[in-house]
Amino acid sequence: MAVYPGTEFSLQQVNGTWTRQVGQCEKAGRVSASKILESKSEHGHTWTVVSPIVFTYRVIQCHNLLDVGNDTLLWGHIGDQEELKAIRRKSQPIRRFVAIDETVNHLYGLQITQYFEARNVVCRILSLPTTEENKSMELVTKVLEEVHRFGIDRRSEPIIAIGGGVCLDVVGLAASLYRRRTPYIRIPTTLLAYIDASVGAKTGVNFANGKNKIGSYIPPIATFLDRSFIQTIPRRQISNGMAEMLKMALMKHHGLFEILEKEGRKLLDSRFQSSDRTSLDDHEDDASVSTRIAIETMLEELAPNLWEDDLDRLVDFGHLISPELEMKVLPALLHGEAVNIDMSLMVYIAHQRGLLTVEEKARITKCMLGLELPVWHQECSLALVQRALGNRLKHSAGCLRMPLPTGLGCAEIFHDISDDVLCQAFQRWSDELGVRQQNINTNNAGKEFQRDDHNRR
Amino acid sequence: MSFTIKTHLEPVQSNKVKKTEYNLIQVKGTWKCKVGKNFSQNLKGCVSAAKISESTTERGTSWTVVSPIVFTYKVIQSQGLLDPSNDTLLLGHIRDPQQLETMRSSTTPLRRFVVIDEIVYNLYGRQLIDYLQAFNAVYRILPLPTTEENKSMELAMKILEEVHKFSLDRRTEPIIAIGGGVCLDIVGLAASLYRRRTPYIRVPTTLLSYVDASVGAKNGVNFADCKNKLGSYIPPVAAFLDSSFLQTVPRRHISNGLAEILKMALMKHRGLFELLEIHGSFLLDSKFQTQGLQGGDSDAASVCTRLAIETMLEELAPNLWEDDLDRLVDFGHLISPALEMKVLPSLLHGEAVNIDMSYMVYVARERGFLTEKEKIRIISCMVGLELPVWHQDCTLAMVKQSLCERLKHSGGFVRMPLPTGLGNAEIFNDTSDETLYKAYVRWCDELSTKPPHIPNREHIIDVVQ
Repeated sequence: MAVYPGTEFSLQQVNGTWTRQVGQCEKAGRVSASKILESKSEHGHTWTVVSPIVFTYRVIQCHNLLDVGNDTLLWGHIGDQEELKAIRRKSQPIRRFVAIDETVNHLYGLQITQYFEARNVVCRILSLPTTEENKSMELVTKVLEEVHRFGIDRRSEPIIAIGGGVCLDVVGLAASLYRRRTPYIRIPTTLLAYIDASVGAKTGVNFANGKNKIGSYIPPIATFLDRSFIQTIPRRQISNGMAEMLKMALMKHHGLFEILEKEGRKLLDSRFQSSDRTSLDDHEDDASVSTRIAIETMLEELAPNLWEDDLDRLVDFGHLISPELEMKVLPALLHGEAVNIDMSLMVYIAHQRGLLTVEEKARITKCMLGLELPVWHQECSLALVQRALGNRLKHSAGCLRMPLPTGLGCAEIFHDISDDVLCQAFQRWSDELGVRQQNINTNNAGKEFQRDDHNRR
Repeated sequence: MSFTIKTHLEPVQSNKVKKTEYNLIQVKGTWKCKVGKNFSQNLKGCVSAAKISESTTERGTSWTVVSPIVFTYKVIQSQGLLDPSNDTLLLGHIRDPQQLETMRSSTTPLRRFVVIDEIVYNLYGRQLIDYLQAFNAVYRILPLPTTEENKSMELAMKILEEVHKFSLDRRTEPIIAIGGGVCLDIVGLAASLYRRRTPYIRVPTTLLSYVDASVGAKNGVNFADCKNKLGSYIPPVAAFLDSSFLQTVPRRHISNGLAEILKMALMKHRGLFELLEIHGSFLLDSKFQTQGLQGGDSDAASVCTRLAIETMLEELAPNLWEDDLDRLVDFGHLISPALEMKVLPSLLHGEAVNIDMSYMVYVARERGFLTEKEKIRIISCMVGLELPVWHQDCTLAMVKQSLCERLKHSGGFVRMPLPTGLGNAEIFNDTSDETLYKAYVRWCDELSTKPPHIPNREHIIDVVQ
């Protein structure tokens, strides 16, 4: 930490007025966590303000969020029991503004309306076409206009967002901007959003053909995770979400990797629905365990680095090359699929560097294929890879910061990779997986796809 | 957390809640949750200020994340910001001495994107260009018409398009905003949004922005005909205050800024009030240009600006994101928003604030918090600063309506700051309708005439209440 020259002042509040004090605060009164440092030069004074803002948010897993008997949707964001009692005693009508993805509204809109009606909540449900193409400031403005029309008391009426990552990002940004900060709640309805978009701080929209170029780091006050939404997701989308689970497993959790290895197919088939949901005891099956670990590992990595001040981020694994690949072939690859292709190459690089044994490499690749994720793509050329790594270098203060697995379920960040290693790994990757993937693609093309109407990113 | 995978856990009783608090330790690039405070000596790693607590019931698990983000920013008074011998404008935001040295000795040209108010550009554009060229900087200057009417998301998006074209490296190339409050607010918002957060620098060119807009975190634009409905609380990395910009500010706008300085004086600083009382006219005439002229900083202009900044920072730093609704800096801002919007554009922001404060002084008097002499001194001071102390559109109905709105948006309390002496104040929630009415009648009686009828204070004998 840098040492500042000059005088350090604490801030103490007495009778409603804040005053600066040097040294210890003697009198009785509230002391702030903020500090002011003052120094002087021949030009005048310099003040340095150091002010911590504490973000507190809850991530709650529950069953049957839309069950009328379940309080979570309405009150889950309030942690303090006393505060909750006080609010429930109030006679004013409860009001909520809900922004929901169009497709999700089609499937769950009625249940949501019934929930709020049963609880006498005055509710406005705004249905939005939240796709990657729409993910723009225009859509945010539309949300803002509706929020404004509804009139919100931001201290007691958090905005609720229900949908996939795009929906949560767009509504999150709108909420961050409204009156400079309006509390909001995220309810992810895809597996990808469940594990990834819902537990961090980031919000955003695309701009000038760049992904997420505009946004904020304001987290929701709460995220409510209900796996039952996942049952209406197409199979391909579930694989998509499992790529992010696999990412966390490879970076941090051997146990999670083993579950995905052994039970991946079952999880896919069952759509992460627990086998016996009427059971009253805490029966943790693979679906609950794997999602729980995915959340925990994500939170461990995101909480200490909420605003990404530290550029060394394990959660970047699979995200060095995939952004470029994803944009290049849009919309052919889903986000998680692109991430998996990136990870697949990185595993070969790790092996080339002697960080992984050949068995470990084989196990990982087999696991990926078992999760029905692509492990190679013809557009992921060596040139694209080199370009992506070049950009990485540029935007990460000149350091490569490449997370690589150093075993099954552990990883480190590396700052150097020789061209030789890269080329050899790429070659082996192409040789071993190129044909394999192409065969899989051919087989898939021959199959009849089940058309789900719940088909969006 | 111990992660042994169990597919069957012990049955948990219905009301049993298991709660665990974790610290976060980083070892070899990986963060891990650890219980308790005594970490193994072998675990030499970083401990985060963030914490996670986990609570398990039969319904599932919930986590509470507590993560502090520390905002650090500098407010630097400087002379001759556009003088090529002064590198503050380009490097003043850098806190680490080593980094500063590296940048100073580097041969790579600095890159800067500068958004500047149109009018300010007409006056200082040439100097700015000369300055940037003297440093061999690669720059893009974007002059914009930053008025209250334009203060919108469209303008912020326009800035973003240009910033994007410039291809900014947000870690080393802060955006610079030069202008009055409107300019600083719009650029601040654009910068907060770009790549989720791009550092920016504020250079205020009006007195109002010098003491008010520049030192806090707020930024924003208007929306749906309402002031500042969209924005953020992201502070700049630095604000550079150069009073020489004030010499080209019209007299009326100097008064405008003095209103905000008076606000802080009335709330917190008797000495500052007396300075305005005695030197107000002089400051108006000289436009704060006497700062530092005779060497040292004890001249009225220097003391005035320093005290204004200090008192503002004292109140803003502990409440940067306005989580605490009791704010002394709200004085003069309970009724003025409605008044300002109603008569737009005939009253400047500070003028509307002063009218609000003037009325509130009468309310304080009515409640016995101020003596008659103190009241007169304050109003005389306001008149001396050439600020309006009354307005026909500030009706009792507007007062009541504004206080009602205040109640609504402040968690059910009116939170009215009132002076309780010269340079002291407290926040009150219990001003009666009768008091408001009586104060209003007296306020109109005494101040609605032109010039306002302020009793000669020598003739008042203070009655101890």
